[in-house]
Amino acid sequence: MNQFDPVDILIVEDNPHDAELIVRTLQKQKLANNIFVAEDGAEALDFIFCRGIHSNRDKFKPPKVIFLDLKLPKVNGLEVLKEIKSNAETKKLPVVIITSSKEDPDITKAYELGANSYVVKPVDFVEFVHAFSSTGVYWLLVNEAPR
Amino acid sequence: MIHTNKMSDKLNLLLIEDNPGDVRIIEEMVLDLPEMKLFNVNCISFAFEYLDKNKTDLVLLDLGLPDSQGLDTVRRVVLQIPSIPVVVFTGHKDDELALASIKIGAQDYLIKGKIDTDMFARSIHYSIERKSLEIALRKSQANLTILNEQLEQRVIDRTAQLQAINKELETFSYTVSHDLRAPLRAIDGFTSILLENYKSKFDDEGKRLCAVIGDSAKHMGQLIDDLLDFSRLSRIELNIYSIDMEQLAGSVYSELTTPETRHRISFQLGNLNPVSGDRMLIRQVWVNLISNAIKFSSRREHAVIKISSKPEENRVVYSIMDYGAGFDMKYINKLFGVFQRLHSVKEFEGTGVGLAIVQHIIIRHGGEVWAEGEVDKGATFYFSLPI
Repeated sequence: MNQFDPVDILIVEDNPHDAELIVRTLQKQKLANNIFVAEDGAEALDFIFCRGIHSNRDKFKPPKVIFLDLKLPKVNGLEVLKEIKSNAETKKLPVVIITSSKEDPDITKAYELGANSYVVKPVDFVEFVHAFSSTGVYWLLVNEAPR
Repeated sequence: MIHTNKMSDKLNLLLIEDNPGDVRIIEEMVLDLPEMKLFNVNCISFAFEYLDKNKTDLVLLDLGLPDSQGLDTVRRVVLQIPSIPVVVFTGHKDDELALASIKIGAQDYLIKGKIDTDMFARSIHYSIERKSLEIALRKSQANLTILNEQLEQRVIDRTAQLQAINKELETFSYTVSHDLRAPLRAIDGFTSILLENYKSKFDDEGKRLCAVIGDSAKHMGQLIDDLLDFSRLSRIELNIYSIDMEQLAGSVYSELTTPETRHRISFQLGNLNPVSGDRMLIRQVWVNLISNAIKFSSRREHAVIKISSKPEENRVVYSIMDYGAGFDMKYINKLFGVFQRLHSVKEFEGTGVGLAIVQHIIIRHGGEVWAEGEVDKGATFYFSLPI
């Protein structure tokens, strides 16, 4: 994928297996051709704000939705979320929190910071596919983004 | 505590008195009392000097001394020698002063010209005895205060420890649920993908083996969830409100069944007594008991599930009966244990946590659970809740 291509979905996920399963699920549903995976919070912020190794990215083509894991190396998910939601240019970007556990103590905090949705990654692959394809369909096709 | 025999056991009295006539009266009385020995000083400052150096059992105190008068004298002496009894020695017009002296720490008062030897001896002995009791009392009170403080500190320490442990447990639970689940997700996910992408390369046995891997991963995921649910139960606080049990049990049944399964089951819901409890947890009790009844009746063409309640003196007993697989009463003591199962996974699915959760919730509500069953005939589960 060329770095100047518009990205539909940004996945911020440090577990490469989870990332692969999500990417595969979304592609199988023909939901998104352009998916970018950031492996930690710092890279995610560079990507979103077009800086560092992503400084050549087009600022006016933000992703349509961000799938954000909370437990991340370097900058954690809540910090990423906070930066996105406190910046006038990016605060309208829909952020879907993805987590391994419904026990996550940060669910409330994430909603307070402005998360748009919260999805628990199921162990059962059938449920997993269902969760991510329906979330993908909703944010890319059903939901009308603000202009 | 009358000391008579040995010289060293004599009671040492210090008379603080400047009037030689009064000193003589006391001296004469002490001469008749072999257990006592008298010393005399004529002012407070000499008295303090003397008391500093000599073991003294009692102080006899005149209230009109050259360097101190009245109540102030008592106050100064009592403050200086808190562990030695003080008996005030006053003129006969000073009754009020004498009484006030006792209120601020003197043991007794003797009125000049109105005492005889017997009275004097009795007063001295009583005063010494009372003082030693007072000191013992003060000591034990001080000990009690210290013990109380230590106890309070221990409670504070223990509470802090428990809070820390609880916090640790929460973190542990979260880590378990978060980190143990990720590899299981990969196992089930990639096995499914393997099966899908290389379908033609697998024969039936190969497909079966993939299914075993996937099922095991899912089963372990379920075990983790159930175990977390169970451990969470002890940590959450109960919110007690009145509950319409009939409505609750009915709605749980509807949620757990589809029109097809309902067609197969004769569900008989009696008029259930309302009760007080934590709605969310009591709902969990019904979910676990009703889903068990459905599960263990699943091999019956026509299943029957009967729910009823019976008020007793200070509790309501609820029961749920099915004509399903039942169980052997021999294993009744294993029925409510965590991860205990009386059926193989092949017969009926499950992790063995459901009834343990039921028992835990009911016990936390101050109730009881029990059961009756017979293999292939069915089972009845009972639980009581206090009213």
